[in-house]
Amino acid sequence: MSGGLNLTLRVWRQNGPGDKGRIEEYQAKDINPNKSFLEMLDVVNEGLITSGQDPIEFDHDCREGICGMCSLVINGNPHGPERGTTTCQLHMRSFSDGDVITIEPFRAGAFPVLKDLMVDRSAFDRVTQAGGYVSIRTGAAPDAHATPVGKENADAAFDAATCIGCGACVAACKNASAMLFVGAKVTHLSLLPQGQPEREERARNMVKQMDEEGFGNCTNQYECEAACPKEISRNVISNMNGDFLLASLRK
Amino acid sequence: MTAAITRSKGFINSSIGLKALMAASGLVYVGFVFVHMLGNLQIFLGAEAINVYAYNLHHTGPMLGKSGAVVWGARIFLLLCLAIHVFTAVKLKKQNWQARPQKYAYSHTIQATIASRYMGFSGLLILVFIVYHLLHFTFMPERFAVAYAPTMEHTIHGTSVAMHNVYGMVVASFQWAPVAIFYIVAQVLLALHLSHAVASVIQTLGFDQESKRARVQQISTAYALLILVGNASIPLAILTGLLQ
Amino acid sequence: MQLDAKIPSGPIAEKWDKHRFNLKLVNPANKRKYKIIVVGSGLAGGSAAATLGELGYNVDCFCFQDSPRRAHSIAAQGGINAAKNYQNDGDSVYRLFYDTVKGGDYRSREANVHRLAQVSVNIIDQCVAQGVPFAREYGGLLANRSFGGAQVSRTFYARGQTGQQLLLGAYSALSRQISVGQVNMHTRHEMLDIVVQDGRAAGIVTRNLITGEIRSHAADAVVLATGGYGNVFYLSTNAKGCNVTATYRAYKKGAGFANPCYTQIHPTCIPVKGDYQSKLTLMSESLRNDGRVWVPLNKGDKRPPDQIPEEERDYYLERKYPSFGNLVPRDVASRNAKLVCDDGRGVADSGYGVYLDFRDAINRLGEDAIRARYGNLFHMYQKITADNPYKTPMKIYPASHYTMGGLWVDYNLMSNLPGLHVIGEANFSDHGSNRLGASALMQGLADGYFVLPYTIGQYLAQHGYGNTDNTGEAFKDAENEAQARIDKLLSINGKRTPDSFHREMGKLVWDKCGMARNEAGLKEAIEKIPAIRAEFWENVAVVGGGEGINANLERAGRVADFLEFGELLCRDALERRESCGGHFREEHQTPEGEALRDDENFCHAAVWEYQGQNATPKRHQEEMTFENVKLTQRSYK
Repeated sequence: MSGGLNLTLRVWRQNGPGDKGRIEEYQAKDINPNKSFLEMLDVVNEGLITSGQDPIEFDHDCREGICGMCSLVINGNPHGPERGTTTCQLHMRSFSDGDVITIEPFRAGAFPVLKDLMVDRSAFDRVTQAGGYVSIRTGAAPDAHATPVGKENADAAFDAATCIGCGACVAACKNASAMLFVGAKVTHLSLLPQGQPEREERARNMVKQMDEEGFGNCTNQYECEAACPKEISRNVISNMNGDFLLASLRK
Repeated sequence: MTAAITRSKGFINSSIGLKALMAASGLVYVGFVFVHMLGNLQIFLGAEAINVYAYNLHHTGPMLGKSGAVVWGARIFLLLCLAIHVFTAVKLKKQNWQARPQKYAYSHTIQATIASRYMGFSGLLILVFIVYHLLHFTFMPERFAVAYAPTMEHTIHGTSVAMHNVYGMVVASFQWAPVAIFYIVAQVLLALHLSHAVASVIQTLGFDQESKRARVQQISTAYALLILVGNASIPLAILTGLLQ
Repeated sequence: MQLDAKIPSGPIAEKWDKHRFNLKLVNPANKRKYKIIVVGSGLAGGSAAATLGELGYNVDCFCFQDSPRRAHSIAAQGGINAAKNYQNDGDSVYRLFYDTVKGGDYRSREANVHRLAQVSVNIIDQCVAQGVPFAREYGGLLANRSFGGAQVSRTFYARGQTGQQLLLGAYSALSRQISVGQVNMHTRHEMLDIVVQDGRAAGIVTRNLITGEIRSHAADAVVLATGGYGNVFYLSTNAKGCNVTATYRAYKKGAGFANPCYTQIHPTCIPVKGDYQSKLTLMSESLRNDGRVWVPLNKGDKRPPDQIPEEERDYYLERKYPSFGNLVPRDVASRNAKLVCDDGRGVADSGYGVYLDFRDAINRLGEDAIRARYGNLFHMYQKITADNPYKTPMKIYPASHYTMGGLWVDYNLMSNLPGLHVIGEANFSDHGSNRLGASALMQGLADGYFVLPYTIGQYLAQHGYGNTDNTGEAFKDAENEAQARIDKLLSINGKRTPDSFHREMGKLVWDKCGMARNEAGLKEAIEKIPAIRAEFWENVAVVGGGEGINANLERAGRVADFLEFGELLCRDALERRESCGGHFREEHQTPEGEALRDDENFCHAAVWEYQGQNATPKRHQEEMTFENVKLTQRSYK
């Protein structure tokens, strides 16, 4: 069709964790601007497959911005140049004809590359397993109205809870710090009465696991907040710091 | 007791613990630079004012050599804070490098401020400056400062005392342009460092509030500018001949 | 095929309590000796794995995503129903039960639905205790809204991200069990087959999507929570990874597949734009609470919406259904959108779209109120379409969204294959031929938290523990079969990508077996699908190897199963010579164009039994008997 974009893609290719990896160039021709970024990559991959070459591996699933599976660092921006947008919701109308687009995986020691643009984010699961929950058995819950929660706190808890666990915060941070991710969960539960009994224990354990996974530290640049597709506020990091410091002072 | 040691070790080894130590030690210096500046600005009141101020400062408490115990206490405390600040900075930096072993081919920042991006750089140069500054005006003025009359007679409590001629030392030193310019540059870096630091302390110690965030950053920037103007005014005044 | 639903006797309201008492219990000291496999980690699988772990069973949970938190339950927007009656508007367990049976067009099992309504109240308690941040009122109590045609406000929600918050709740419970070692989580593992040994489901075969390793796992019971098959249409609101493989493989190993033709078409999705599209995006049905659906009154009216005066707009839902208006059930809303578009009055580039207009609501309530209710949905719509829905009406069109059909299960959620339990969207049990809004989350969590953990004990107590030896012949055979299939796919070296076959069949199935179906079209599809399948096995292009990551190979395997399943779907639709709920046969409609059921001949679940490759499967029936709800023609006039 006419009016399509012709783009040069510089894509990170890496056969596996042991491979050194390199950037390779591909042409994406006649791309409809209404396509999503991943649909553009689908087209490139269809071309690669039919010509017998290995397609570019990348993670994706829901393609509606909520599952957190898609990643990619596009011209240095995790999830691309649009604010508050996942890669799957990024559309090619954000680019111009003739653009050169560099596509790299989320880079962090704690997110080893599996292949091409796919990384292993299981470190996030392990951090959650260290304490990102309320210890409540199924069936043991009191009536939902037993404990009222002020609307303001409920809304703020929700804002923190919208984290999709994609790892863009880690990818954006120059120190590959996971504090926005961890802070979001700590804050979500510390704002609710249900989260109080384990509040300090949770902050301590999750931070410990976060450190053991090899994520870096916060330098208060707030790139994480700017890259977060759910626009989670840096405030969650401060809350986590407060909870952690209180927990450390008290015990 | 052992439990307490294990816990504090855990705290010191944790990312947030390190950051809190860095923030707290930095906070001491945020206060110190202000008090230090107030002392220095007395130079504009003339030789007697600053020389007497320095004399009194160094003669508070029992004398241990050339200075009183209070000054020694302050020195040790400040040195300890500096050591903590530098130690945590080095340790954090090392961890941060390890956290991203492979860099991006295309690097880009979205909203990081210049000050925040050059904290390590400004901090390192400030450290160099501090060493020079201590040698220059505190420990070895005879080697580092330009020749000046070492003492001056001033009257306190009705008696005349020969005091260290701080005024003469400073004026003589800054009349040499390279030294004055080096000091001014150091103050610019200090201001850059402070503009990020003051707001960061609030965030790191867990006091951030969305509604007050803009105000905190304004205060941080204003404070950094205040220190810059106050401290840089001295070499500038001397260099331009306002102070002789 | 034996189809004993095992519905307990007695009054409907007492069946579940009585049944729970009669169920065999597993001695607490013995629970740790049992191993249970759970495939899928969404609302059903995640909650089941967590709860079974809490009870003390050893659980192995598998998901193909990189984390259990990414299952597609996460994308559910609108809300979750529960008969709490917090709004004091006359809701009750019985009313939720009644509405669900009626909404399902009388094709669901009464006893199952009543149980679902009963445990719905526990779900909300459980989720709140986990820290799920439901919407609240200023007094601090939970907020509710009316949803998808219900005339009571029983829907609990967390802005437009209810599924996400509920799934993260289940994920947190699951994480806790993983941390204490009760659940062994296998991410990036795809189930390729089920292993049947001595007439029972004895384990599964998986492929490790990172290393490519194929191996079997044995257990005392297998639970499938693998979701629906909506991607049979290629374009749907499902995630790209959603597939029918797990349930279809179980079907090929002897489990009955019930009512595959019951697919739900969701009325409010973003219309298709061009043939490159990879998926469709749903806009929550809650939008219909404040948005008004209309098309131009005149055919071919291409003016922009703001230039079409009020009298030249056709608010067709409000016109045809004055009492329910824009809130008619999903199937009715979808079919009417198709009717007006087929009539040439559709909007959007393709002519297949209708307006969903918020102008009046914004004028009445203000833009801020609308933003508070739907902000994230409007934001998402604008991201995708570059249109601002605060200023110009949304364009929407129906899309495949949910599948009511699934593996047949009895009251204990066990399929006809002993030991194989099926929960959530993957089974057929609760929604009949049409699912009400905000009921999918309810069913997934009901099955996983409150039903399966009890009922699975019945099977386990009877069959004993320690069945964890995967060296038997059945296991080796299943492993070899899976390997052979992968080798076959890799050896074809054809010219067409798996996706191109999927697109081709998906379009065919959507055209012939989508919102409206007829005999000729279905027969045509049943004839054409085998040809597409045959070409697939001759001409599919799968590059790379079987070791290591190969998404193209994964897709090929899933598409191959869809190519068989699509035929089963059409066959079921052909044999069900009536219209009901989401299954609309053009030959069977009232003079007003509404679905016309045939209760005399089709008041049953059709359960298909596999008869071998290329053989016509056998159709069995489980009669649906209604002792409490009177069958009536649904009317939303």
